[in-house]
Amino acid sequence: MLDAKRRSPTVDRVHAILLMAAIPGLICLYWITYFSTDLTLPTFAIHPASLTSTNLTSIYFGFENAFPAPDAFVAITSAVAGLYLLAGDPKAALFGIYSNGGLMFLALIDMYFNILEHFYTRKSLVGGDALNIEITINIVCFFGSLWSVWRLWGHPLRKI
Amino acid sequence: MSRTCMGLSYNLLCFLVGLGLGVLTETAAWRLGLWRYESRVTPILNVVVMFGLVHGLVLAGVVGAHRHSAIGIPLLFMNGVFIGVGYEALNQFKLGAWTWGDRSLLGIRRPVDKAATVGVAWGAAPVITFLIAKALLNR
Repeated sequence: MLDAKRRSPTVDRVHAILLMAAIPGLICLYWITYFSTDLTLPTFAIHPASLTSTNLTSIYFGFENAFPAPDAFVAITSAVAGLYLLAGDPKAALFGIYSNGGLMFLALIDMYFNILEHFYTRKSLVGGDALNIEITINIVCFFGSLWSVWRLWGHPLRKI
Repeated sequence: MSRTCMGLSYNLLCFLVGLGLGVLTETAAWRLGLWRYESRVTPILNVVVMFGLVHGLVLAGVVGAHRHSAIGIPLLFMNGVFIGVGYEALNQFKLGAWTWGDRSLLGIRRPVDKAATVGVAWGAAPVITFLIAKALLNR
C-alpha cells in the first residue's frame, strides 16, 4: 500500500524525461558548446595574458579534457535508466543509481577542483558567463543526483 | 576540415558514409530477422534521415569536425546514444513503426531490453561514420 502510494505515474514520467532527455541532453549540449564556442571557457583560457594565466590555462584544459569519457558514461546510463523507467522495468533503479552516483562523483571532483584553484572567488571570473554556468552545473548535478537516487531507492521497482 | 575526397566535401562524405552504414545495418538486420517494419517506407527514412542526416551529416560532420578528435569521440558516442535511446523509446512507447523479431539479440529476448541495447548501439553510428570519413580524407 505504501509502495503504491509512493509510485506516482506523473512524477515517474517527469523523472524518466529528466533521466532520458535532460541529463544526457544537457551534457551533450555542454560539450558541443565547449568544443565549438568560448561560452563555457573562463577569460584567462581565452586570452592568456601572463605566465600565471598560461599555466592556469594548461591546468584548466588538462582537467576539462578528461571529462568527456566519464560524462559519456553518465549520459548513457541516464538515458537507459529513463527508458527503463518509462517501461516500468526494475532495471531503471539499477541504471539510475549507477548514473546518479557517477553524476555526484563528477559534481564533487569539479567543485573540489574549483575550490583548490580558487575559481569560485577569482576576481576575473566572478560575474562572468563561464563561472555562472559552472556554478549552475555544480548545483544541479549535486542536488539532482541526491533527489534522483533518493527517489529511485524508495521506488517500488527496486523491490521487485 | 576543408580537404575533399574525390571532390566531395567532408560533410557530404559523412552523409554518404552514414547512408552506406545504414544500408549495411538494415540489410543485416533484415537477413537476421532482428526487427520488422510496419511500413516499407520506414527503413528508407531510417537510412536517409537517421543514418545519413542525423548521425552522418549533423553528428559526424558538424559536431565531429573540430580539432580535438581524440577527445571528441566520447562526445560523438554520447550524442549518438542520446538520440538513439530517445528514438528507440519513441518507437517503443508511441510510434510502433517497427517490432522486434523472435530471435535473440546478443542473448537478449525482451523487447524493452532490445530497445535499450539498440539505443546504446546507435552511439557507434556517428563514431564509425566519422572514422571512415576521416580515413577517406587522409588517403
